[in-house]
Amino acid sequence: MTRRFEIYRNTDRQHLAIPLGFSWTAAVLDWIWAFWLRLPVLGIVFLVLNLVSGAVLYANRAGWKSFLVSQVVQGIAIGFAARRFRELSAERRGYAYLCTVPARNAADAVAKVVQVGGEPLPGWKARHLAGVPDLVPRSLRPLMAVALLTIQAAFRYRLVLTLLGLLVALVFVLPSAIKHDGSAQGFTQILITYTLGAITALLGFTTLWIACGTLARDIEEMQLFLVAAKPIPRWQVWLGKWIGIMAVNLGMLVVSGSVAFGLLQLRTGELSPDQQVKLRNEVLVARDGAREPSVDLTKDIQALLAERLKDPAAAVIDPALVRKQVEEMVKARQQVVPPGMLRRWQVPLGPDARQRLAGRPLFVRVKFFTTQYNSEGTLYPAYWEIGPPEGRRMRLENSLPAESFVEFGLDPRATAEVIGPDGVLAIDFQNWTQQPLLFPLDEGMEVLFHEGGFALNYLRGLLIIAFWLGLLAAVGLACSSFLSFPVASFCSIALLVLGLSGNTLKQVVDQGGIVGVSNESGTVTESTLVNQVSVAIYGSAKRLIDQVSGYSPISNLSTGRSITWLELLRAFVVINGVVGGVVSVVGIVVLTRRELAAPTKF
Amino acid sequence: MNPSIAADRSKGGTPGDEIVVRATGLTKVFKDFWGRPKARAVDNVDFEIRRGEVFGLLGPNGSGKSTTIKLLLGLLYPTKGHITVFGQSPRDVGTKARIGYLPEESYLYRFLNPGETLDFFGSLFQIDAPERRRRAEQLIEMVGLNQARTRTVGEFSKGMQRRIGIAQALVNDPDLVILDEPTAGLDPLGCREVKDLILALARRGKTVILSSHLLSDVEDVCDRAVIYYGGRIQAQGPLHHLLAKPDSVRITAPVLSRETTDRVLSLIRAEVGDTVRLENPTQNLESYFLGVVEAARRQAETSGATSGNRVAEYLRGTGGFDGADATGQGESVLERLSRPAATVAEAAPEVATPEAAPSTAVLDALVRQDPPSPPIAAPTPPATRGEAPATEPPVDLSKANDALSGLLGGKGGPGARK
Repeated sequence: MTRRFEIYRNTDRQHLAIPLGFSWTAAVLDWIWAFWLRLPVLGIVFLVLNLVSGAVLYANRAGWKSFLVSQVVQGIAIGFAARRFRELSAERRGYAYLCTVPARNAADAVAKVVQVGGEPLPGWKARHLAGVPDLVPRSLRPLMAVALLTIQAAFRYRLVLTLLGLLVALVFVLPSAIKHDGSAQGFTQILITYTLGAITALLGFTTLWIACGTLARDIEEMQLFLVAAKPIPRWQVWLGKWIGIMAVNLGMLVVSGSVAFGLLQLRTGELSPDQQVKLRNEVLVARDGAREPSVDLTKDIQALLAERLKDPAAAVIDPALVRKQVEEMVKARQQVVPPGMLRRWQVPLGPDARQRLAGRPLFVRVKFFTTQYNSEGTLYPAYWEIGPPEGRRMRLENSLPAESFVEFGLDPRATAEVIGPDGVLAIDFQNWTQQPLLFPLDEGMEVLFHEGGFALNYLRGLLIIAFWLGLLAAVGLACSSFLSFPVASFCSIALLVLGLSGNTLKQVVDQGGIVGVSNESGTVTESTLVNQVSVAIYGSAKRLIDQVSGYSPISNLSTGRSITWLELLRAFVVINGVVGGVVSVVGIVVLTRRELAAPTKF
Repeated sequence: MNPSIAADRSKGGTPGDEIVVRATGLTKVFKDFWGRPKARAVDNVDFEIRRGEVFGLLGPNGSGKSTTIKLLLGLLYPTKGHITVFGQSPRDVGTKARIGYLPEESYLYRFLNPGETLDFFGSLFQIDAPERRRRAEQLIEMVGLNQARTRTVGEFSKGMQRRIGIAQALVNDPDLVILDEPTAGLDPLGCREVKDLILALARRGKTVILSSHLLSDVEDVCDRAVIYYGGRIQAQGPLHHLLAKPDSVRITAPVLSRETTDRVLSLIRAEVGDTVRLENPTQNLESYFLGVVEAARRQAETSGATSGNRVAEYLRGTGGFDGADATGQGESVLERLSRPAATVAEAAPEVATPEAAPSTAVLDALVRQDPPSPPIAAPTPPATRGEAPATEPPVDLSKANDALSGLLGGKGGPGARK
């Protein structure tokens, strides 16, 4: 059977024949085939693809049939793309295209060319150029070209390889260097909190650096000058860079996240059996949380306020102050449990909770404060009755620390019984201490229940990290739209540090400025212009940061808390859509209006 | 422009009425960070460029040539005045699709190889992938980088970077080609190829703007030129008007006998006095060099840039260069240099060899006071399109080689320069 072979020749006049069409070898051997062709990056990509698909399918208990299907799909794609990979390999080894020859096999094709002295016959010259058609719409082709260029730059400058090495080393070295204490919490702290935190930090700084470099250096070295002379709108240049950076980031995140996930699964065996069960139930799971619906206190406040204002003594006091005291008093009634008294929470878990959560463990998560001095390590006795008031109830006693979140589980076998028919879980607490205990309305009591598997939750967590990286990329690109590389890097890192120091911002806003702060009251003594300006700036920054800082995937993953699809969407809208969108618009407008051929002023 | 080039151009596209670029009162003032004026780079400039023209921008460093180019590319915005390209603002993205631009330096991505570079710039013009690859193949071959296609641009010499720069400027088959110092860093062969390419593009009705310090480049290819100094246009107009010396003539003839020469001189002196100069014309070094390199090229391969090959097929248009493909009339030096030796010899250097003196009958005919003779053709320029008349005998390249050997102190061959 005759096939067509592309003949490549190097400067030593050696020939190489590449068959056109589907490659069965590549389809079956994928990563081995890539390494054999001296395409290590491609080999790594194929290998990671195999590992990731295997890990995801294993984690979801998908079975070997699903794995086989994924392998076949992957093999077909690689088989069709094999020719282009072989061309790349040949070009990398110094071969250049010569002609396309019909022949029975590769040796026959080379022999034909040698036979005519290396000078192709006229009919052999035409190159089969069909290749992979452009999948993107014509108008977006420039955008994707810039994105691809950014990815190519990351690979060619060895950034991807170096970063990949660092990330994988980090994922392996960190858990080995820091030993956990054998508990599920300690294990989680190291393998999720530290590892994912380090990955995020490394990728975050790298993203800022790449984002500043890719645009600012293109402007300084005048490459963008040439690109802007072509028919590409500047917004496409900006967005193309962003997409390119994010593609690199996603690749890095998928690889390092997959390795971290694999290690987490593999090293579970280091824990004792009971801690393994705890880990499976409390961490390697996606748990949703439910709280008591908030009560509208307005009526109570109005009533009490009206009563107080009738008192002639209240007439001399500032009405705003009286109202504030009344509000605190009404809230305290809801929050404070006096000694020997009982407080009941009615937590709705959903109408079908009884069936949905039958056999699944429930967790009660509480946080309380004492009204007296609390020394570290002090435990307070607590008595709980959980279940429908008229039905069978679960009773338990425990001792809990104050001022921190504490979690205790309920026997999974009793779950179906303790949840009321209406899906409400009633929790009674009796204060057996000698002092009032305060359970904050917003975070004093929460019930955690099983919502889904860990693998998908982990994936959603990684996606939120990717959203964060997207925002950082936008910040870096926006800064480099009008600043030189070093200044843009400095500014964007300064912005990042500012973002991380949320407490400082809050402090400045609370104390009313930065100049003339009284040590006694903790607020400024007079409202100067400096203080007004600083409060305006810090307040705006704080509001902006508060918008996005509520999404903390690592904290959720390390506590086994579910990140729902809705939360994921909300995170995307807020982080990338609102805040990232504003930053992007600023960057794009500045770049569009900039005279690219004018000398950089700073 | 040289008459022979003008004659050549007349076969194909001639400057039309369509105005491609119009600048009116164009002024650009660079300001510092605080908005204070720092330099007036372009000052109240007016010019028009018509379709099919090869337009030269001349001037010393800092005279405003490059600023003018950046203004018409929309990379700088005018402080005062207007500039339009194809009737639109230079910032209009659609207009840029019709422009090819070669900047004064290589601003290419150093990590891409030639194919990837052209593919990238082709994508910016929304060209389909197969067409991009086809054009990239042709352009790489045209600019002579076939042997360097696996190397990245960062590894290239300045001249090779220039070549790939020229290729990227042509990837979209532009209607307006803006070349800023296109021959900077190129070897003489490359310079000649570029000039030849400019003429080829102009023949297809393309408009070319050429900015150069090298006056010979502008002289060889431009129809019109402006001369800048201090941001202002000091002179502008058709080159043959600017350069014409109407008060003198030059006569070129084969070597004459002493007797004939004296008779001619005495005749001329009788009319104009002693203001006559007699000298042996020297051969142009560029032509000579090209011939020697071409001869050497046929004997050895190089891993660097090679002589460019035929102009990319898509740049020729459907009918080639005004039928050049069929007749060979429009064929360029670039193309002829890439052909087998027999044809290449046409462009080889002429080494001066004494020829038989013409008979006195020829002289008589020359000095006869007959009706006015037709205008005397100006001397053939050094970098004309290389279209030797069909009657011109082919030049023996071995003579050129011998002459070069003689110059370098080697054995002088029979044709060595004495």
